[in-house]
Amino acid sequence: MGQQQLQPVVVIPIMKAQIKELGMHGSLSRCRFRGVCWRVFLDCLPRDTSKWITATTKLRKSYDEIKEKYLLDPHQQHGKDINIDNPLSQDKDSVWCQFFEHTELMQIIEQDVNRTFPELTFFQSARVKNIMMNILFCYSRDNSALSYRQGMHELLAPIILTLERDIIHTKSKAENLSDIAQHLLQEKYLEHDSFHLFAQLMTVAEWWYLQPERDEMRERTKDKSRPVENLLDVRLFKYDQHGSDLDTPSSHLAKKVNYIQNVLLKRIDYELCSHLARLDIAPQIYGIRWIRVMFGREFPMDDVLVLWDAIFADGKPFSLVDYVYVAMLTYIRNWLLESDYATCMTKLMKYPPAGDISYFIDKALYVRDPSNNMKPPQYEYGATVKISKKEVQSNTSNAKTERKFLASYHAKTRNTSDSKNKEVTTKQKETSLSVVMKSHNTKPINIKSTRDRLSKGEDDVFLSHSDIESDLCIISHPTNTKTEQTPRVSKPRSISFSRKRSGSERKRSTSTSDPIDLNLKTKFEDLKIMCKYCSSKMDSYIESLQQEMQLLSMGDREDKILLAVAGLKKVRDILKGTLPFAGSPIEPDDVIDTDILVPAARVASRTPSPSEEFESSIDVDAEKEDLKELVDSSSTATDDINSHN
Amino acid sequence: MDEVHTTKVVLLGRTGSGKTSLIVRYISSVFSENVKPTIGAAFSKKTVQLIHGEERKQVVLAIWDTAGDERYESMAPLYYRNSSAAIICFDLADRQSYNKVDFWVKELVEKVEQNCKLYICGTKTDLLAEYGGPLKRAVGPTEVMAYAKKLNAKFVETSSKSNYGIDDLFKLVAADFAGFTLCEAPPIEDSLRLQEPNQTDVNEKSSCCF
Repeated sequence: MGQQQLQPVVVIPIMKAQIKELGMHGSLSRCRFRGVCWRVFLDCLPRDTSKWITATTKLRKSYDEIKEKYLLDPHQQHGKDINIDNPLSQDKDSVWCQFFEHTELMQIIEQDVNRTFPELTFFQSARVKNIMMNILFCYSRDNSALSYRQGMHELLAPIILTLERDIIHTKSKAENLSDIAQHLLQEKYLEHDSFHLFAQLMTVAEWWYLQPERDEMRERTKDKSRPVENLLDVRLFKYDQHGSDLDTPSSHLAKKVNYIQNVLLKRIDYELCSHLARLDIAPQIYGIRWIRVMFGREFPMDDVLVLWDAIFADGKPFSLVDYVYVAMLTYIRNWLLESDYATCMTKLMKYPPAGDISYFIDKALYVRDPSNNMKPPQYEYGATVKISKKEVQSNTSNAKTERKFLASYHAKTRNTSDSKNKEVTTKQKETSLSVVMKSHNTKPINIKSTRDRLSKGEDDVFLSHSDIESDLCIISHPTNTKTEQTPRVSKPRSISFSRKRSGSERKRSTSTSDPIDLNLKTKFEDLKIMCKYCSSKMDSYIESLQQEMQLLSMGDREDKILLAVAGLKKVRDILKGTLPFAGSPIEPDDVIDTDILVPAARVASRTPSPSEEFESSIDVDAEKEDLKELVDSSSTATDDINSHN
Repeated sequence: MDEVHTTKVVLLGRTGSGKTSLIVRYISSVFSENVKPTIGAAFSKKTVQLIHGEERKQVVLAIWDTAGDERYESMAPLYYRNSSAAIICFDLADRQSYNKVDFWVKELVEKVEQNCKLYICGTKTDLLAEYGGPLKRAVGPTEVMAYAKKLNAKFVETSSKSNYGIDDLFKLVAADFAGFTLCEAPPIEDSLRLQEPNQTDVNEKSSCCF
């Protein structure tokens, strides 16, 4: 029993890492507990699951108090003193005075709430509008220095949507839910829970809304007697960088977007950065919206949620936001590079539709930490990228592959790193984020995703939802069930603490991944891609070597050369994976067995040192290949292979 | 060959005064009831052809839409710097919206553009009772015109919903910029009567609630 109680404590840190991985890979989009995951990411739920109920109750109570404090209806407040609390009172403490003072705030909020995602019917219902208004009003009052600012409503909206989806998804199975799940997912507390999630988000996002003090601004403005510029200046459209900097103290957000464009972008794309600088495009102009509503205007809602999964999973202070921003710029880089100021501006302010949101996450992770994240395949808007002449000349097949590459990220991520995707899918299937709890129910109840792991009968409850692959599982266990007591600490891959398990389940439940594991897998993938690349390169070199050999006379050195070529073929086959690697170096006498195949008769005899030539040709070629090409063409190789499959 | 000029026009005004709708109507000829509030700014451009006798000119209007939330004001100079024209919008049926006009005028004049031409634009005429709508005018035309005159600004009324007065407004801006006097350009007072969509309530027109 003691052990059982301990388990949740052990589970949560691992679980957090686990759902973090899911969040990073867009796998929460099919999770019925996405909202719960967000609450874990944003610290609305403590690490210790056993405290979830008390923590939630406490938060809900605190919201009730906040609401009572700010949403007072003077009609119902029977003030202690009629001399103070009456509608005509001038007393600042009067409930009526406060009421009138904040009517305008409420009106502004209402106006924006009415305009929240007009394309989504969910936000048109009076119930949701009311929830939004209450939350925004309470938040603004509770944070009076910041108050309400336009855009906050669009940070709140996805939160409500997500929490509501959790509730709807589990509504029909309410009786099957554990006590904790039932407690967490209650319609009547949607407003409460959304408020706290929103407030947590705002602890970071408030910096994106804060403005320098008005007084400070006025002071500075007065000091500057800026010469009146010629209105027909060539810089007519443009932001006068220097003037603005002098006049206006930069807000936190202005500094942030400038840092992103001028430092982070510069690091990975100097050309684009200097192009934007040359055109005098201030990042504030387009970037403020990108960040303030956390890309909510730039992508469709479902994509936004996937993006937020990753941002939240990555954790405060949402540094991933900066890198997603960079990824968005690089996605349209070629397009921007060809455009003038007005066209650039139009595109930046009306971001083009993007095919696959996961690119932006992958790219962001890669830009932030290239050594620990796989470089996503090249993916660009419009796919009309010019291939540089040099590349075309040097290697036409490369150019071809590159062109193929630009086709679609979607297809690419499917194919290129097919195995990576498989991995993720496997992860989805095998991940049971089991939060084990004691239930008073005698009937075994399971809520889970793990199709593979759990026996069919147990799966019935949810498997009707064919689209549900990964879920945060809150599994209730009957007290009288014999359970497996030992958490599989020895196998960090498994985080399942499900205590009831059949033998077959046990066999299957060995592989889920924690971050270290994923890291290894990523490295493994890299190596695999490298092998494929090497083998395909070797193929072409061997071929050209053989062609050259046909024209040359090698005399009595021929045997040696043929042997060397055969050896190379063997190495190539090992790299390709078609020849098993026995773990021992290639024996010289093995080599003869391989299929060689330069007709000796056709080999002329001219060159004194063909082996030297071979080596030098490799060197030259190797120099030609830069790292980028390496990854690109190797992934195409994988691409081809996968399309065969 | 037409002369081509480019000019920057900025729209300012209280949140919900209809700036974005005005631009969307002008650029894309569509109207939707619920437009998301502008965060930061938006940018669009349109070319206006001006013909005056033998003289032909093209004016490219670079139109900047701004956020109405004045607490973003520190950002605003970024958008209205170098504007040759500013259209300050207010909702004809909302007094608070009109009250904010002065704020934006001061903001503009005091902070950046002394040479900027001002246009005061009363929006949403379709909502007014005199045009068959449900609401009363929140501010009388005489009051606005007096205010506009003081600022040497022009006053126009528009409806993005019924597409009333919008093309004329931008044509006026372009003509002023190019130094044209539009032959059909009405004096300020008359601009109110331009293309009246509903003639039935003419009598009510002079009445106002304030």
